[in-house]
Amino acid sequence: MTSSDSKETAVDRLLARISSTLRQRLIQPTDIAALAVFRMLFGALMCGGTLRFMSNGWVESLYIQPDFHFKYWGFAWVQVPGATGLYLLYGGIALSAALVAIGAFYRFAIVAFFCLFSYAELMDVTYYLNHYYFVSLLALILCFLSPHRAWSVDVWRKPALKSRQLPAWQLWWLRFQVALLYFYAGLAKFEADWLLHAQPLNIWLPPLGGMPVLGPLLELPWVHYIFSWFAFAFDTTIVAFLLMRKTRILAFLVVLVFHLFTHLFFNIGLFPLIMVLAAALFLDPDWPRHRLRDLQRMCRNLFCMVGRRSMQIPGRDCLADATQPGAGISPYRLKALPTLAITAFCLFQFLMPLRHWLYPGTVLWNEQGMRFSWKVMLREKSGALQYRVITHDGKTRIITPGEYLTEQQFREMAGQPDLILQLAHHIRDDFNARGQGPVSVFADSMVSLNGRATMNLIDPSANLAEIDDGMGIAHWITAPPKNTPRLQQTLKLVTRE
Amino acid sequence: MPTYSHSHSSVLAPLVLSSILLTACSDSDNGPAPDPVGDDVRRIVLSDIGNNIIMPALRDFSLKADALNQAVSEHAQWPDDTALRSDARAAWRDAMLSWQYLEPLQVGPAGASTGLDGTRGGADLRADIYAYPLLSTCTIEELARNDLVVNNGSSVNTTGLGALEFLLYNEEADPCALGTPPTASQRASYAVSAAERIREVADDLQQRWEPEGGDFLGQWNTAGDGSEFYILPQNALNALSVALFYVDKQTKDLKIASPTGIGASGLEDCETISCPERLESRLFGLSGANIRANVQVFLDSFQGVDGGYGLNDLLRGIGREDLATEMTDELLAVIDHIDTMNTGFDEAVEAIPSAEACINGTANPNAESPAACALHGYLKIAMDTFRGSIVAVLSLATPASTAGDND
Repeated sequence: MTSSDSKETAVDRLLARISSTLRQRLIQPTDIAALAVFRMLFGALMCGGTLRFMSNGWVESLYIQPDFHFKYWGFAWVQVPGATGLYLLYGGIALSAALVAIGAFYRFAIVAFFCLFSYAELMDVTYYLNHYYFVSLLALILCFLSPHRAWSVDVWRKPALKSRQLPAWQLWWLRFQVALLYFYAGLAKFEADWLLHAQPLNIWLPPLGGMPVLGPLLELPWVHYIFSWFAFAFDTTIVAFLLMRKTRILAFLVVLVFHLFTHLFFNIGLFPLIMVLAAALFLDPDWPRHRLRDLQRMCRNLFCMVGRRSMQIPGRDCLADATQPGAGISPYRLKALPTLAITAFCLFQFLMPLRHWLYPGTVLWNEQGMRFSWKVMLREKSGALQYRVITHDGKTRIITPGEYLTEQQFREMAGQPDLILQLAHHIRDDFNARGQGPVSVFADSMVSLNGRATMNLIDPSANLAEIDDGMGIAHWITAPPKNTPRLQQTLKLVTRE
Repeated sequence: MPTYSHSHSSVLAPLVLSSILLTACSDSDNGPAPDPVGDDVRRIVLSDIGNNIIMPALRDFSLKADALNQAVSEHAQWPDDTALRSDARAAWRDAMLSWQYLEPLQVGPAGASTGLDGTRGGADLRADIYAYPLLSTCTIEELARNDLVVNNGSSVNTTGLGALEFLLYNEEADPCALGTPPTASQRASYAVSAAERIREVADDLQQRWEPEGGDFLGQWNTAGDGSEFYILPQNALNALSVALFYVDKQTKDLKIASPTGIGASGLEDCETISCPERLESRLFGLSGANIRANVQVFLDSFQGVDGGYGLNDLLRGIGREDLATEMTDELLAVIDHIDTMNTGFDEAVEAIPSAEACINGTANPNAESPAACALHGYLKIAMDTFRGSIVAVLSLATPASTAGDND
């Protein structure tokens, strides 16, 4: 036996041991309680969020009013239905979410929720939100998990379904997705504007100066720096602290406070609630039973106080511990194909946010690789845009986006090059349809990034009518601004001469 | 994503406590008042805009609407009296110019009460005064012919200053080819009801703002300090910002781009090089003066009047003197261009020599460009600065920004 053979054997042995340990960890029986509670709260949150969306009139303003909708690359086939179809779609989302919450017809409900919700999000890229994408991913993962095997209508209907445990991989798959979000949200903040110039918090926070107690602090630039650095540190490390048993509870409290403030500071809808719910996945899997037991104890004490000692608190059985680590051989097995598929999914999710490194310049400017990458609340971009259309007879027309878009669509698209290109194509097609083609379409797009002076985002000499959308490097997007953003001072009254 | 963390509370708690104590001390101190910072500055700016711009403009329009009502009523008694008709037209002109100054200030009761463009305290009063671009002259003709009049429930496209312009300036006997058009007397009677309605709404609007009335001015001036409509001063500034976008969307795109033939892909092509029929005040030829009033109130709100503060002081206060100067210069260039045009805007639109010259004129506005097109160019420069830089730097709201969430 040569030394290289023995080395290979040692490496093989080490890999085999790691693989075996990992496998054992993943199939280890784990209390179902945390996943069951997650299912209930996730469903309830999505149901409530959808009803909120409808009651705010956003179905009307975001989907019915606009004549034109921006499509995701590769998803142009997703069409916006008429008003009735839209309300049926959103009604279906709310209903399926409610069914997920109560665990009724779970498998059907979660698949329906995933399909309907994702369809709704794919209807118009203008309204892309990281937390909507996150919800879609969680729903997709939940399609393959079994959190309905406890505390659900399905168990009540079919008692044979009842289980007190699930294999650990079900919990860890969700945890992995949550961890990725936090990690990449933190990594995205590792850039000069955020850390060295406190942008865009330096722009966003001062207008909140009237908030009680903290308000005056929000006017101070050094506070913007502290917030920027803290947010960076929080995002990049919170998962590690949540994973460590010693720091878990404290970390979860920090998560609560952090997201409370994001809720107070920014108009980010359900995002804080979703993230708090997601962070709860890192608590011990049996935490709901402990909390229920505490509740039971409290009730019992209360009953004792009012002299009703004999009263029985129901549900004792469900409070017993379900997890007995290391006790016997796991009844679960990992099958090759599903394991491979999940591994591929996780690898894809890991690599996807890194794709912006393939493009020159900063993603904050060119936006190539911005979506699906957990770049959350990272930049302040505003701009003015108009198109120059040169018709076949050489006449120039000026088109403002407002002729095709609602103000909200305009505001969102003005800083996103691929959407500027998409509208250029729509304008080209519109002119062609009116018999004025072929046309050339140029964009005059002046954009400000994080408070810098405005500059052209799109090469004004690029004929967008001839440029195809795609994943390649977009040479028609200008180089990012070289100057640094200016730090805005605390607002004071400058006495006039 | 910012926050205060549990781990930082030990650092921040003393800071918060200190600032509270400092505030408490300074309240009992008899020394000079500290320089205003933050929200105090925002409130000062809001108060100056409310006291020096909005309130005087409302009072002025209320007086003009009253005068208009009187003049139109007198004209109705002798519809064929040209002198009285001339007086009514003059009164309309004064009222219209006064209102055009207020048009971009649709905050509070003048603004919409619901919808994406809804504003806090909105009572939908604007459309009863002036519903541009909504106007149905032929419906007015039919209503007048049937001796019907304007009332509280009248459709906004049959009343207001737009309806009065048509009734006072139309010279055609039967512009809608009704066969039996309304008589001069019937038109005059309809005009009386329209003028009376304008007067009522103008008075209502003013009273809602007056400190002795609904005191919306008080709500405005105390934003973030007791105002029930504006919890933060920034909320009131956002309302003002959204309102001022009128100059971008209505003044620039609708009142200038559309008749000059720049853009307007959604409209049918004009038969001529430009589209004078799309001018705002085509009958009277007042379109340029309307535009000037719209831009003037933007400028006044930006730089303040009568020594008061304006939005540019918010820029100066955070060290962005550069943007304050840039925006002021650009708005002054628009005003200067209007004032130095050889003809009125209406005539300038008709004088556009070619579409190409117009496009070049708006892209590079100068003294040689077709004047109407250059006006679009000058205003676009100013509005791009507002939309692209100032809104971002001051974190101001844009129209329809309440729809949807962010992240």
